[in-house]
Amino acid sequence: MKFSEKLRRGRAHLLIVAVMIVTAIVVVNLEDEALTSEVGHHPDHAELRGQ
Amino acid sequence: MSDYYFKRFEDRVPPPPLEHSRPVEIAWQVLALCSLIAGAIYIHWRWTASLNPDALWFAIPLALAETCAYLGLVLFTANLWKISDYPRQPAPATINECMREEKGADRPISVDVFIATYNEDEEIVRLSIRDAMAITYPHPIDIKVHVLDDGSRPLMETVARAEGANYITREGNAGFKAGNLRNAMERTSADFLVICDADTRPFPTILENTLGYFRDTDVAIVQTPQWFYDLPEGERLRDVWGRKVGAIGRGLGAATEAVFGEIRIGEDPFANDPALFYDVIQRRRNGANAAFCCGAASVHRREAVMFVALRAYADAIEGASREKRTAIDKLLRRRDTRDPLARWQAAQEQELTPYKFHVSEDIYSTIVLHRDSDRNWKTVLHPQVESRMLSPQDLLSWTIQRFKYAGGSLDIFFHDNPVLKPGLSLGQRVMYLATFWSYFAALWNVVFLIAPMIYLFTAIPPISAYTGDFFGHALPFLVLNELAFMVGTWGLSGFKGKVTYLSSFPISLGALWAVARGKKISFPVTPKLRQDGNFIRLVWPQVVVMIVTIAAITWAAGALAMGVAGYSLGGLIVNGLWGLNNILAMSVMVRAAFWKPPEEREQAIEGVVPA
Repeated sequence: MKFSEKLRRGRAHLLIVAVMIVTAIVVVNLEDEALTSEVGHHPDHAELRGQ
Repeated sequence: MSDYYFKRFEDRVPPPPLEHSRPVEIAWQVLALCSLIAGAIYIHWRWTASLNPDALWFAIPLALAETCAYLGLVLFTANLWKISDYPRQPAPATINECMREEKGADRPISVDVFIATYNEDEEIVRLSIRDAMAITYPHPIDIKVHVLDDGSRPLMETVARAEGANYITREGNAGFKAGNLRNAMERTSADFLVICDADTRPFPTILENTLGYFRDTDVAIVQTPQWFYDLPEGERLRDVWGRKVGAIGRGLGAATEAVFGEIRIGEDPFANDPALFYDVIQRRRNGANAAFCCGAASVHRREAVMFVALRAYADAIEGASREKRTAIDKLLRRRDTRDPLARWQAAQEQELTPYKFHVSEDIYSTIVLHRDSDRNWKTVLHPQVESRMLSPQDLLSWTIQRFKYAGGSLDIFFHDNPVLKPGLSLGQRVMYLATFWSYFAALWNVVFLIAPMIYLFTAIPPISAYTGDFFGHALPFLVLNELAFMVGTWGLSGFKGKVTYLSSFPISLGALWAVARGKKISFPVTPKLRQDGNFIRLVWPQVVVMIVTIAAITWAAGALAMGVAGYSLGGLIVNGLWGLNNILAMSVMVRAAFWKPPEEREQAIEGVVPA
């Protein structure tokens, strides 16, 4: 079986990975912007962990 | 051959087994290990730093569901860890090459081919008989083909005799397939048995390629992969869109396929292709001697089958005599526990049963073999397809089959759980636990289906953490997990199997509920030909999940637009995509309920057959 055919069969995994990464980037940026506008500076993990 | 739908697939040839590539295997193992480590970090973080204290009723069940799913992942990873094919050996010429001790004069091997049938179309069985009669072997051999007809049909007898096969039937059908096989074993005597269902059509090479394993005198069963040669191949996306929208559709379809590769609509609508199960899951159990018998297309050493029978017989007498002894002791007021009277009485009431009368008699028999530490019986998954079979062609047949698998396995788990009993090796325990655990998955899959709905309707998050922290813990695990299983099943498409696993939750829940209530799982024969009818009643839970999820997404989007407190765009995107993933999974099953073969669809459009 050719590599391209194997890749075709595994494409669903790659698509899911792409969707997850893009979603994570978009959502984290959205939340960061929202928090920045609320508190006036970029959120810090340690600072937010206790919330 | 009658004008069956599968006639046009006669020329299809089975795919070869997946190649064993050591670099790919190492890549899979590295990714899998990284995925499990990332998963452990994520699960630890979920329990220690992310539960929403204001909604523990929601947070704890979800975290629990994630933990159970993670344990399932650990077991599945252990199952898939390594390919360790059993070494193939040349076909033996005589019986003494397959025996521990040479017994008298040597002679050619003898084989009984059993074709078990009940109510299947006689012409379908005829094809199986013909193929069985065409089995070849490189040495002199005594092969007899037997049709085991539990339906006692005169026409079946006529067909069997006309094709040169022996016809065996019995009064009633106690024990169903297991009883049918027992009856046949009592009337036959060959060294090896080939078990076939009514539609199992063995290839001429089945014995030549499998009897060599029995040179190892501990090998009891060789299971060969079941291959459905009638799977619908679907239609190319460009053709479907071209038919519906014209040239523009065809162009768009072609462009999509140019980016993502060939896309087929309607291909294997019931996710019947068992390649993942045989070529990956079962094959990789060889190393732990934990591949289990699946009935059709397996070759058995008669001595081993009789061993299972005697072991079960002895256990049954032991159990029953204990009860009798207590009763006799009470009656006679004595304390001697070695009572031959009780044993004799118990033995009179037990029957010697080669295959346990159980809906999953094949896996049950394998467990009995594996549990015997004195004899060290082995089971082998031979990776190459050696027969062709028909797949369920409608959702009803598919559901019956899946319910039997789930109910049978869960019944063993609750009533004769091998994982906790003595006899099995650690590897075998892990493999059997992986099988049983997979049937419990419906319990946590339901939580995964409901969770996004709860958030979208209520704006109550189960997680109380900074979004960046959540993705920082979850994303490495999820990404590594996807990549690991892409490499671990390299060469196969596991997507449909995965979504079917999620969307078949009502079947597993139904089986779980039936077994928990002590209800006996019945043995209905899976129909071999397509059943007509509307199967929407079988997928109403999936339809409900789809409708409620769509409503929840719409509700949350409206609430966010109106500025309702608690909703955020990030929350909507994450839970909306999660919900869409669930809808997509459910839609596979719902589409299957409406699926019709292309020719039936065309006839319905033309008005020949009512739609």
